[in-house]
Amino acid sequence: MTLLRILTSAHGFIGVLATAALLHPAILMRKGRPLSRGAKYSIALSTLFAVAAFAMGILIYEDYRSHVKRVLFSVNPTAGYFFETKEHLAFVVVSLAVGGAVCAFAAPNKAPQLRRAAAAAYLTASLLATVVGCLGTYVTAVHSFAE
Amino acid sequence: MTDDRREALAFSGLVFGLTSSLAYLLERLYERLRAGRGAPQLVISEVHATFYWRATLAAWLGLVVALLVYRSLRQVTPGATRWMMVLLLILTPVATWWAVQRP
Repeated sequence: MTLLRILTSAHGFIGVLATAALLHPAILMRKGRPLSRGAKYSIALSTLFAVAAFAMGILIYEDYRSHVKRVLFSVNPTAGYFFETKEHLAFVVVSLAVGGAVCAFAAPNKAPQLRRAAAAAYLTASLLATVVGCLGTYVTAVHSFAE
Repeated sequence: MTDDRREALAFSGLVFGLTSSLAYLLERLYERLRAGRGAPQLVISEVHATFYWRATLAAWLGLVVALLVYRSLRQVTPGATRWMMVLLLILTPVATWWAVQRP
């Protein structure tokens, strides 16, 4: 078990956690009610998990490029292209999560429509994160770092 | 901070999320229209700096637009917020289709 496989697994686990966590703010804010303290913690942590998963992906990318990418494309070009797709969608997920967090924390109590809109942002982020997670799982199943 | 300013800030946050996402996808569209689908050899040898530039530019554009929206807004109308919700929800299938079709 190499360090890279540990980091890859951690990246995947945090990504799956972020996918589930991003749904929580969407559920909490769906009716636009003012945020409780717990809800604020939930929104902040959900966004942090998404950012952390993204950051871990960037951290291990160079090693992926050196050790995995070439073989991945030779074994299964579709999986190689799916990895590129994963990157694009991951950026969109983080953008929406950050934007939703700003909206959720800034919206005054008398503006339920803004919290509902933030909920829509988190729902979109969660759905896209699900796609990212599925793509990542498939790519890892095809080829990953050596043991 | 007054409620009007907080509403403007909140709406600007949503604008940032939507604009930076769309900007990224449009950048990718431009690259694909210009160069076509990359051959595997080229994708393998591509440095990651292109992704960093694309992401940074998209985030910067999102920030600029959000700041402009914040400056112009004093009161967010319910209609504008509804439109934002619709656009955000439409983004899911559009972004997924686009990213899958044009990696």
